[in-house]
Amino acid sequence: MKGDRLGEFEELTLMAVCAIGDEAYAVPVQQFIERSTGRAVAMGAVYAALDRLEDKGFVRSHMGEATQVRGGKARRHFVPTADGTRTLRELRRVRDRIWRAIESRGNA
Amino acid sequence: MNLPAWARAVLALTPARRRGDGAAEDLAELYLWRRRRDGPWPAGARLVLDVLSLRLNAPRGGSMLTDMKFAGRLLRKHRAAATIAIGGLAAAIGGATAVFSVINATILRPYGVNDPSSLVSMSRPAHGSWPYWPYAHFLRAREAAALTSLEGTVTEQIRVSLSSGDATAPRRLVTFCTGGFLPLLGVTPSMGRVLGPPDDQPTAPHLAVVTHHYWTTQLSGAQDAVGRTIWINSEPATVVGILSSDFSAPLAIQPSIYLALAGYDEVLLRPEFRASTMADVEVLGRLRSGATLGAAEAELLAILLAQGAVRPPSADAPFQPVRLFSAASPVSGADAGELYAGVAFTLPILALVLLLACSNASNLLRATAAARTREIGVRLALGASARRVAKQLLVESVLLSLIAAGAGWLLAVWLSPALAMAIDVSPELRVAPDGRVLAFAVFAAVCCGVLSGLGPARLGSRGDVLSAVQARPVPDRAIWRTGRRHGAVVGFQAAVSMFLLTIAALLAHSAVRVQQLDLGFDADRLLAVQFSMPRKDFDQQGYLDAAVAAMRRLPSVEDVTISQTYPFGPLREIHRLQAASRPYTVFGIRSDASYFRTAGVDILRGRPFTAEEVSAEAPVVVIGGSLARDLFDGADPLGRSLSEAALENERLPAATIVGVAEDTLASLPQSERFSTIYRPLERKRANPPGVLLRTANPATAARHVERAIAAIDPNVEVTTALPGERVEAVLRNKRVVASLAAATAGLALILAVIGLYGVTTLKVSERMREAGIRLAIGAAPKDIVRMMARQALLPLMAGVTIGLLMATLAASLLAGELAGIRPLDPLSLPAAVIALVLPAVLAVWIPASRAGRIDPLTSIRQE
Repeated sequence: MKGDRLGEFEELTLMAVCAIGDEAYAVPVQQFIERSTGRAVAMGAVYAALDRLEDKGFVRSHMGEATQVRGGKARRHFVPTADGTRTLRELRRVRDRIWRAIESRGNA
Repeated sequence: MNLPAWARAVLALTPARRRGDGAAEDLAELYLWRRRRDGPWPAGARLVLDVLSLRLNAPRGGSMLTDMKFAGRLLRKHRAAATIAIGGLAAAIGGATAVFSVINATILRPYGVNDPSSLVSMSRPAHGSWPYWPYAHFLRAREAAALTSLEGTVTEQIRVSLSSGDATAPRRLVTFCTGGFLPLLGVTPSMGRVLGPPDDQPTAPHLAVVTHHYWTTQLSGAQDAVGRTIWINSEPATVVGILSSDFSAPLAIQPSIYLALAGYDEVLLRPEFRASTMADVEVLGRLRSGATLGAAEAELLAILLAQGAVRPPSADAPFQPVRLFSAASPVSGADAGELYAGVAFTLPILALVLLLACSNASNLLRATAAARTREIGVRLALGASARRVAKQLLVESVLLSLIAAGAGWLLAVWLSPALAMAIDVSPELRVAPDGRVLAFAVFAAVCCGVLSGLGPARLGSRGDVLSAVQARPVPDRAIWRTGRRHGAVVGFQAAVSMFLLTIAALLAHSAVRVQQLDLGFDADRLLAVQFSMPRKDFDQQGYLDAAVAAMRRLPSVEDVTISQTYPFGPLREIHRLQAASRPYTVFGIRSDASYFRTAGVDILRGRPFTAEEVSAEAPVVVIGGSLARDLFDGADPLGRSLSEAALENERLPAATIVGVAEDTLASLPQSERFSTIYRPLERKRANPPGVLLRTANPATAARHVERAIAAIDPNVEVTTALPGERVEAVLRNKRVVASLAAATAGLALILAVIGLYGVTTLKVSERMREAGIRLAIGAAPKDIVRMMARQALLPLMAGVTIGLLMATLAASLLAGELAGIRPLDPLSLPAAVIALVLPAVLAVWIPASRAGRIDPLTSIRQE
């Protein structure tokens, strides 16, 4: 199932992981996407997207320290890989190019 | 973390493979954050959705959803087989759901009243547990009872019309209730108001509350229906309220209209409830708060005993004289046992038909599982667990039955009103499927799915990787083993459908025979008139003479007779005896001399009795033709004594036979022989006799008669009945039972034939290779066909035999229902066997003959 293409939701998830930085685990990622898109996001979708991103090599995960708040259970933290950040940048460049084209025609 | 218990329970449903990721803790954290931000309800809802989403978005293949998708693709691929299996299941689930929705409407659905748990019905065990009490006793009990509030109702069938003077309007059930009845139930009307105590005053105008069904069907659901006038027995009444659609009355029968009891006299012109009379009312009550059923019952018993209304239990009547039953729902009342018995009779038959459909679906799935050994082998080799494969196969069968349930649901929606109409369910009860019926259909579907999937799932998960991947032929022993199981399935299906077909054939033949039976009298030209007269100081004979004279004066009346019993009437005189070593049922009719002319009974020999003999109550008798033949062995019975001829039947009267008449069918005929004896009226009799009239049109004559004799004495209650209608009702009932049985049996037959076809096709495909080898080494094609056919035909024949045996056993239990034929009817039994065996043999022959036409080379080379 490996590939380097990103679905829309995967892209959002990856961007959220980058934006949050060191503290990225499922809960803030979900909250971030919900806040920035304004649409309700199911946790199941977040986990599935994070799994796929890890399968594709765009993020890496590790279990963090056990915290008191969570009844002594650890969190699974996610960090973007170099591949991940590069793909995001590449995507952004493609988009920018297309947007420039759209704007030069005066349609937007 | 501070989580409520329910949230912890929901979190426990987090899939195991997400636990390691700390998903449960993540969700808990999110829930607490949302609860602070949005409040507990939205946060709770989101938590449930999140857990669901975890279940649906499983990380790797193997979720329910993928299984479902895959199953859907497979069913599309095996479209023909799937259609057959789904069709069978849909018919079975649809039929079962339709029956269940009728059971639901009549028994399971609550009454739609306020706090049903404290409703009670006051019953009288000495009178067959019926909640009917003399009005006078009811009034006293209501006055004195501190623990229960009691209300009474009387339900009558009355002509109700929407315009004045419509004499042909249909009769409807109208309940006259005491003022507190509807408030006691706590009914909220959907429009207007209900009746209250002020409406139940002799001076109050007639006000009516109608049911939702009456409003929609008769008042066409008009928004201005409240305030309209309807005519009840030509008496105008104003509609003041319409009951809501979920209301049904906790009464023995479901009325369409409610009126105040105070209006009873004016509407029915009978002075029943003007004073505290002994006429019966149905009593319903509500326990006051804090009262228990036992305490309330003891209180009512004490009240009624003190008033002398009931007697304490004695050796003659060992019943407790008052019982209170919960009236919370139809199954909680006094006759709950009867209802359960009805359900207990229906459910096994439904289960049998569902099982038939399941075994069909199971066969289909087993066939696809067998054909997919290779695919399953590959999956096992790639690391799928046996459980995983079994789950996939199970999901397939559940999907199959869920699709079938969808189709069955549509069938049930269409079928249930027809079924309800056929078995005379009150139209007031909404039979249309509701949530509970939907739950039943889904439950039935899942049960069917799991049942039909278990076999194939076991077969699939036992999969042996090597032989599957190398496409080795299935070992012979395995074929033999599955062969035995298939044989059992075929035998089972054949036995069930043989059983149902035989019963249906017997019932159908009996219905036809009853239709053709000569009643021996002109039922459709008769009108019966019954009187209830005051017992004390009343000149019965004088009244009867006056009434008969008044009836004779009517131009439409051809003849009039006074008789104590009449065919299909409410009272019967029955003698059971042996004649010509056969059980005999002899109906006794006691009448005056003109009975034979009036009822149209022909005298075959001798003469009828004379008016003089009647007035002297002479010991003479006219006997039925078949009794004359069987008691006297062909000798002339005239002039002999009836008791002398039948010594062992001492109960037959010692009377001289003066004539032989046609036999009269006096009630629902049984399978045994019957005859009739006619004797003069008794002088000392327990009940006043009735009058039979001969007229061209009994229905119209009924109104003339009622009008003509109403004036003679207002203290006499006159009721008319149409024997022809009663006969028709009995016949209709038999036809309905027969056609329901035929429909069930037809369904079972179709399922069995489909099943046989499926099994034979499967067996033939399994043994293709063997057939090829046999053909290659010189077997004749017809031997191959015979070999293939035999493996289905042997269990088929075994099943037919077992089914037939069981059916004959059941038929002897059903003998009472099988009028006009014997339980071992020489026409029905062979017909049922042919009906099953012919299509069954065809269903075996068609796939079996395919085996004879195969090309040996291709079949051996296959994979």
